[in-house]
Amino acid sequence: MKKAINLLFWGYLVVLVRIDFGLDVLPVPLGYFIIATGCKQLEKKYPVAQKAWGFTTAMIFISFPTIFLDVHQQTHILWKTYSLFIMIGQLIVVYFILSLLKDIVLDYGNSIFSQRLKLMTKIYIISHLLYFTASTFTLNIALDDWLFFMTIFMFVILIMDIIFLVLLREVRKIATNKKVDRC
Amino acid sequence: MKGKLFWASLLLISISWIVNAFYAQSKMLKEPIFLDHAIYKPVQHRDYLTFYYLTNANDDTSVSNVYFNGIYGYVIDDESSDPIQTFPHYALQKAMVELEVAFDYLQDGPLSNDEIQVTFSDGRGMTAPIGELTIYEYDTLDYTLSPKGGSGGGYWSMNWYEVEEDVTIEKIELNLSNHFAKYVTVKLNSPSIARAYDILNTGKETGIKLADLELPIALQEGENLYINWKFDPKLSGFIESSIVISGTTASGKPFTEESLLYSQQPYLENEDVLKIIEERENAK
Repeated sequence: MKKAINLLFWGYLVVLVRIDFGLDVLPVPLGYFIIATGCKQLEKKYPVAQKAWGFTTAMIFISFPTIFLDVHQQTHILWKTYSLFIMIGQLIVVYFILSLLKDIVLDYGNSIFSQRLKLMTKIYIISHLLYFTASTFTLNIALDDWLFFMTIFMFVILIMDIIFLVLLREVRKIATNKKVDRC
Repeated sequence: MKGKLFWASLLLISISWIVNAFYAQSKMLKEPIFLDHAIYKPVQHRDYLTFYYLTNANDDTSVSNVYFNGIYGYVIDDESSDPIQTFPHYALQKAMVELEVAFDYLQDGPLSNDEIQVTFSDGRGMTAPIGELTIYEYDTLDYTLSPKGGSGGGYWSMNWYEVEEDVTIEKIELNLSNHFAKYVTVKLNSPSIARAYDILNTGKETGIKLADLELPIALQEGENLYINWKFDPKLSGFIESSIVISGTTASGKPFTEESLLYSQQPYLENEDVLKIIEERENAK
């Protein structure tokens, strides 16, 4: 259990961090591969993990171009579309993982944490959906008018991802305690 | 419950993106549009020209060089290629080029063109109509009217001269075609002019309008001559030209002075941009 959640943590960190030395030294597909491995280990106990595994594996291949260039800084409309597409994919992966975490925490009977997790899930998902919606309109608004607003939004999204990683660590801690017998 | 909402939102976001993308694409320019320039400039061996042009908002290329009448101008790559203004679908960019003119290249007379060959940083090129461009030989200065200073920016600008000896001004002309001249207002002021036309004040907005000034007029040694000028804000192009003042000194020597006349960096509203684009489309 602990190992699996660890994989989810490190995998997502690799997805987030881009260190550019010509190629992305921490490639996104590798990150998704690590997450997928973690999901596989949880499949037997938690059926959601199977859906997570399937989608994450697809993301390994879909995110391939990100190894070679920073797709989020491109100006061509097709690259911009791809950039939004993989960000949505990343959100879907997190959505599945959060769903998985919900089931895990339920098993270990920590109801306070369950509440927190539920709240964080809502905030994480809603903030991302709002960010994506705003992004779709930047195509038809002057750069000077949206740059400041969107920069702040991007910062918020970054904070959300850090909170998600912290959440993963906390679930890992909870998962090392004894399980609660549920009738 | 949350699940269905999540997927539905993603679908809506995708649809919004597709609609926005198609709309934005329909607005794109096939190639950059250069503004209307009126450049009449005496140039030396190395001199500079500035051009302004509109591009698509997502165009991050810049001008790398220009060519006209056998002369190359290269962009000195020291500043960022950030646009000076952005609009919903377009951006206004500036290109400052350094001309390399061979020493006697202009001795046979001025060179003019209404278009230039432009090469951009990604290799693509275009023939750009830029308005009116004329360059001519730089004449050594004649200090009959000695420049003392000037001020610009804001609404009115001013060039200030001291008259070095008694002169008769016979001709004052703008180095501009009518198409551009209608955006300029020039006023002249000096003690002699003030006396002739009952002008009580000095200052940037004062003086007799060029159109109302009767020539020839005599100016006296030691007088301060002020040439005040302003541009109609409706000008959506760029002017770098001069006001040519010519006449004869008291000792019989003819003189000519070119007084700088230039507009500020263009400031456009979105409607101006759309109008420029529409006009350019119709001209084709």
